Amino acid sequence: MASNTPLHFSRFSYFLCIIFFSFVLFFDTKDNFLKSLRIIQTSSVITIDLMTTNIFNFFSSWLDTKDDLKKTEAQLKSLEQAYEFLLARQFIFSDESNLLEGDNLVPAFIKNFDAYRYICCGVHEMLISENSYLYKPVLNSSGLIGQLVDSEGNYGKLILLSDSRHYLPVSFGSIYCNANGRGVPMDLYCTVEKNSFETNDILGLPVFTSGLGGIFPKGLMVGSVSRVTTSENSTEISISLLADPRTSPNIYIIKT
Amino acid sequence: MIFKDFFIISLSLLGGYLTDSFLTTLINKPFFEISITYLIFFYWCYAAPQQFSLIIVMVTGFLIDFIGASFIGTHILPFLLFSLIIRTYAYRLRLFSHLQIGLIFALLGSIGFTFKYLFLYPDGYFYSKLLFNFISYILLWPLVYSLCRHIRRNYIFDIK
Repeated sequence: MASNTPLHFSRFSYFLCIIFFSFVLFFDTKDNFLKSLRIIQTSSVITIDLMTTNIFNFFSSWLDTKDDLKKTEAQLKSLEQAYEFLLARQFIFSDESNLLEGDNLVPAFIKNFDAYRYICCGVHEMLISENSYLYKPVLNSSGLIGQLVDSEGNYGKLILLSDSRHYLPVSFGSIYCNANGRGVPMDLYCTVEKNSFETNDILGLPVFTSGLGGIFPKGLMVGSVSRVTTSENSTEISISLLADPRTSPNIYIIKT
Repeated sequence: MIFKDFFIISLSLLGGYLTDSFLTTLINKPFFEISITYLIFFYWCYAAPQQFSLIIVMVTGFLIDFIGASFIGTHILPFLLFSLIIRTYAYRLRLFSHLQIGLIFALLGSIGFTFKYLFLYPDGYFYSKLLFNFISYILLWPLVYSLCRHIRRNYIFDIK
């Protein structure tokens, strides 16, 4: 075919579709009106995951005759869960509100987490198996990871500390501030008045929850100061988070 | 276009999307972002402008949005725009070398990238990521071209 042969197609229908989908996208981002489609996608992913696991288990039990090995694997898994639970309990031991009195940790599991959008797009949220303790803090075996904010069907929606919508009152040294995420994995940022401290004095300092706001108990370790950037009127402090939400599917909600 | 052809094209786009997400998750660096999905889409627009019609563009865009649990329109809108541009200049583009076509597609892809991050996910926008993405388009284009050409010649008999 000649290189300059015109291709006949209706450009008008293209423009019409572009306008139509611009409206769809606008209202979807604004009002989330196609949320049901995303719920269908999420439940499909969970169902496929469950089905493949069941099919794999079925065939492995069919092929594998080593019962002892399977029993040991099951024991190992339960021991791992118990160990992580103990680590989580040990973590909240540092708090100043006596959280260890009574059974204050509710175990849950991560049901859906898009690691791709966590890294690329600043979408720092996940679905977990528990939805009854709204607005409560959530941790894993290595530390605080986020807060339960909503329920979607039978699952709870958790936003991570590094999400740009989340604010966490923290303190380090004599400084108090509201740290918020910016969609950068494992980082929080705090803006404070300039010259209220020496940069070298606070670098590497451990950062704790301040207890202000009443949601996160006081005294839980959040991370450490990793960078200090000074501008004309203020100083920005970067905090490296202690806990990576991707390390384990086992998480725990602090219910008090 | 028969259903089998449509199925293979959708499968190649889905494969591109899964590769993107797998590599991004694996490398785990804020500046790392490649868009093989867009390159595969550009290839089909470029190689089969007659058959890759409006409906197919919308359906494939919708499928990617649905599978990625994105807002509906995140992929449909850039797909429509790019398809319109590439179809308009479809046969003229064939006069260019692979490097020139790679550059044109890198420019278009960067527009898609900027659209996605500035309007939908501003938290994930970095200049380093945009630059890396632009260069990766140029470098990956010959690879994606050869792979998709192989698929087209061996499995899709309707598009010659």
